[in-house]
Amino acid sequence: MDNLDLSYFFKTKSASLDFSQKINEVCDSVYKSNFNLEIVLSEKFGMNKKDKFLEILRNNNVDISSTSAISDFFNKIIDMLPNIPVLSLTIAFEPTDKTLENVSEWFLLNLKRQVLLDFKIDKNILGGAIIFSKGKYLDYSIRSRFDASISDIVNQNNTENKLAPETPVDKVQENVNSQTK
Amino acid sequence: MPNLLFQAITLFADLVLFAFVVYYLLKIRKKEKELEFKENSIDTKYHQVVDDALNRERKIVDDAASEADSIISGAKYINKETSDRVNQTMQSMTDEMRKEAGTTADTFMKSYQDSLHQVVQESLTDFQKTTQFLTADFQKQTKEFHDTVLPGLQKELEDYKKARYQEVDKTIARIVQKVSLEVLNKSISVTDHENLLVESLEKAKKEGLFE
Repeated sequence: MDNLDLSYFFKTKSASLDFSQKINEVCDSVYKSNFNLEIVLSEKFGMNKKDKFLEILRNNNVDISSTSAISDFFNKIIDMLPNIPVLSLTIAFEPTDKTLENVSEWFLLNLKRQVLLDFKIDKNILGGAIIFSKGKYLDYSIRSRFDASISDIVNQNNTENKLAPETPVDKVQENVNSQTK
Repeated sequence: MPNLLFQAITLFADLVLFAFVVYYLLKIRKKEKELEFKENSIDTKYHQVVDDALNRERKIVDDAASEADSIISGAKYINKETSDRVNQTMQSMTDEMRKEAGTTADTFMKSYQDSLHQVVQESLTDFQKTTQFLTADFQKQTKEFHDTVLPGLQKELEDYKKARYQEVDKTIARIVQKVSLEVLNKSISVTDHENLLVESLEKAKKEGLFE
C-alpha cells in the first residue's frame, strides 16, 4: 500500500487535486443504496482508469463487494495523497503527455516512488529546468549557464581592461602619488 | 544958500579925505623905508651867514678829503691782508670740508653697504622662509588631497567604472538573451527540451536533491 503507484491516474499536482476530489465523491457514494463501483468509477474516471482501479483493488486484495472495504481503501488513498512529494519544475516549453509520462517514469525508475510534478513555464530560461524540492532550489537552466558564460567573458574583459594602458585619470593619480612621496 | 553949505561941507570933506590920503601915503612910504632897511640888513646877514657856511664847508670837505685819503690808504692795506687771511681760511676750510666730505662719504658708503647687505640677508632669509612655508603648505595640501580627496575620487572612479561595466554587462546580457531567446526557442525541439529536462533531473539526483 505504501508503494502504491497512482501515476497512471495523475502525474501533476493539479491532477492529484482533481483525483482527490473524485475519490472523495466515490467515497461519499459508497454507502448509497444503489451503489455500483464500476459504474461510479467509469463515471468519475472513464473506462480505462476504471479498469486500472479495479486492477489495483484486486492487487491489494480488496473485496469489491464489501462497501466498507472499498471505503477503507479509498480513504487510505485519500490519506496517502498529501504525503506524495511535490517537485516543482520550471521549464521553457509546454509539457506534453509524453513529457509527463517520461518524467514520471524517470522518477519511478530512479527513485522507486511517485512524485507529483508542478510545472511552471518560463521561456526565458531557454531550456533545461529549475528544480525546487524540499526547500532546495537547483537551477539547471540553459539561461543560468548562459549568464555564467557571459559573466566569465565580461570578467575576463574587465581583467584585460585593468592591464590596459593608463587613462588620463590614472596618470594624474600617479603624478600626485609621486609628488606626495 | 543951502548950496553954499553944501559946497562947504563937501569941500571940507574933500579936504579931510585929501589929508587922510596924504597921511596914508606918508605912512606907507615910511613902512617901505623900514622894510628896505630890514631887507638890506637881512641881506647883509644872509651873505655873511652864507660866507661862513661856505668857509666851514670848504674846511669840512678838506678835512673829509684828508681823512678819506688816510682811510683809503689804510683800507687798502687792510683789504689785502684780510683777503689773504680770508683766502687762507677759505683754503683751509675747503681742505677741511673736503676731508670731512670724504670721511662722511666713506662712512655713508660703508653704512649704505652694511644696510644693503643686511637688507639682502633679511630678504634672502624671508624668501627662504616663504619658500619653505609655501613648500610645506603645498606638501600639506598635496598630502591632504592624497589622503582625503584622492581616495574619494578613486572610489568614485571605481564605482563609476563598476557601474559602467555593469551597464555594459546588462546590455550585452540583454542582447545575448534576446538573440538566444529568438534563436534557441526556435531551434530547440520539444524532444531536445525533454532531454534537457531529464538531464537536469539526473544532475539533481547526483547532487542528492531527492534523498
